[in-house]
Amino acid sequence: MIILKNLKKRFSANSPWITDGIDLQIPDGQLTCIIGRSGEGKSVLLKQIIGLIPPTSGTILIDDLDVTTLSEKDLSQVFAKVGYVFQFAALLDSLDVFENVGLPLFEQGMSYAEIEPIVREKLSLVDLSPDETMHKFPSELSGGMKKRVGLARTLVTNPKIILYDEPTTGLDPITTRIIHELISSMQKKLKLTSVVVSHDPEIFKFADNIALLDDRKIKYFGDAKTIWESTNPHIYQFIRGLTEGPIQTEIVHSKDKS
Amino acid sequence: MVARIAEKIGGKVISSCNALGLFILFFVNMLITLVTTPLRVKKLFAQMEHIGVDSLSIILLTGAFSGAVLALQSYVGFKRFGAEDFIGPVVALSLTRELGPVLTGLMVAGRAGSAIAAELGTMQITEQIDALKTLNINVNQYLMVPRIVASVLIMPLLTLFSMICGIVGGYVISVFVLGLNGEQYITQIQSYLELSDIVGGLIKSSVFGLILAWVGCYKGYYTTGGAKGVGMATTQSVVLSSILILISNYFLAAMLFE
Repeated sequence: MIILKNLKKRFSANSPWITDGIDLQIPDGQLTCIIGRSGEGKSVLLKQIIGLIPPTSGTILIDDLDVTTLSEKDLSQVFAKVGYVFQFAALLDSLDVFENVGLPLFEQGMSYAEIEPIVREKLSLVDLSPDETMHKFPSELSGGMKKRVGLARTLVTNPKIILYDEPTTGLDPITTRIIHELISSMQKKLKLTSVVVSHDPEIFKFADNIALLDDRKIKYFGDAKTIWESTNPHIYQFIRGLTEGPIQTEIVHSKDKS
Repeated sequence: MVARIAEKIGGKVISSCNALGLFILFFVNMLITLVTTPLRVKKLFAQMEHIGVDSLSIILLTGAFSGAVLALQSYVGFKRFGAEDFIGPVVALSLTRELGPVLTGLMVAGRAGSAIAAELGTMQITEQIDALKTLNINVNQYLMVPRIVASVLIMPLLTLFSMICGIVGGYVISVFVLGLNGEQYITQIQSYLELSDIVGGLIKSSVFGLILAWVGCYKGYYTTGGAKGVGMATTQSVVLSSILILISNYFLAAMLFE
């Protein structure tokens, strides 16, 4: 289980708070989606969970391991448990798909012969043909393929938890659907704990839980299946895309100013 | 008013001290990584090729024309005293002790140092460096140390080529343009040039190699702000490494050729 306790983040003493007292419990073996408006700090939150960005204060527990107290070196314990799929895949430009996916294994000192079947397996798992994609470079892949290769690379380390940072940004609706189904099937097949940061309502169909981040805090946490029936004013406004409600929008701000 | 000015100056001093501390700490981390982890030999050779072999043509050209112009200008002055025979030693001493290492350092800083900053900066803003961290890969060992060691090792070789080309350039101008005795040019160099002149120049070039790669890696690693940030990191890398090369050149000259 991932537990966040009173998590606060700002980048300097004079800058505004990005998150200000987040309390959240993410259950094991489920797909939890964190939603919220652009610029609310969802990606920053995700990077704090894995230890890429240190929080200003608060606690992050992953299976009783306090991420906030770990040194840079000891963060390897977190990286061994938690995988991260980046918004734009973050594939290494200079390496082909095989080298990208097999990179962690090459670094462990495994041979080409040992790595090849594993890379093939992981690429097949994300519905990519190993023979067609293995020797392509990231620049030769479509957006959807890059995301799948990014996921395959994350799966190579056999993580228990996968964090997805806006996995469908910039994709067409069909590819978005395919990626969501892939995330859901991975989670079920490999019994993973998945955390997806998104603002795409399509993900609600696949998620178990929804957390809404607004105004630097978690304003809603609940079952994804009943989200459309929720009377929570924040979630009601957000999922219907209403401009009127407790969630501040630029339009409301400008009205207030005038 | 006075308080505001003092606050501004104080803020600048603090941020400069912070940046200097970070810059030195970055280098200390590289040293620790170099000592505590195995060197990536394959990556080292790739970087030596990138920094060294790919810079060779501009280094040869710079060296040859520096020697040529030195011979031409020396001839004008030396002719007034009837000391044309000393053009050879002047060209050789200038190139081995000063012009060879400094010009090579500046040229490689402009070509390879900027490329290091741009490459690492792009990797930083596209989250490729974060991706390496989450895959439990030591970023210093994987990206920085091979570049720094390669630069330290390859710079003396480049400088040696620059020195040779400069002396040859001076010979060509002295003999074929100015009509001086070629044998005299070589004999005088043999009489006045000492091994310590060449070794001193090569030691200087190694230090310049360290500076340009250190600055390039540092500026690239701490790049923020998208494409504009990469552009700024690249420019700052060339400016800072050029300044540091010129400043350190004075102290190295004072130490090595006392």
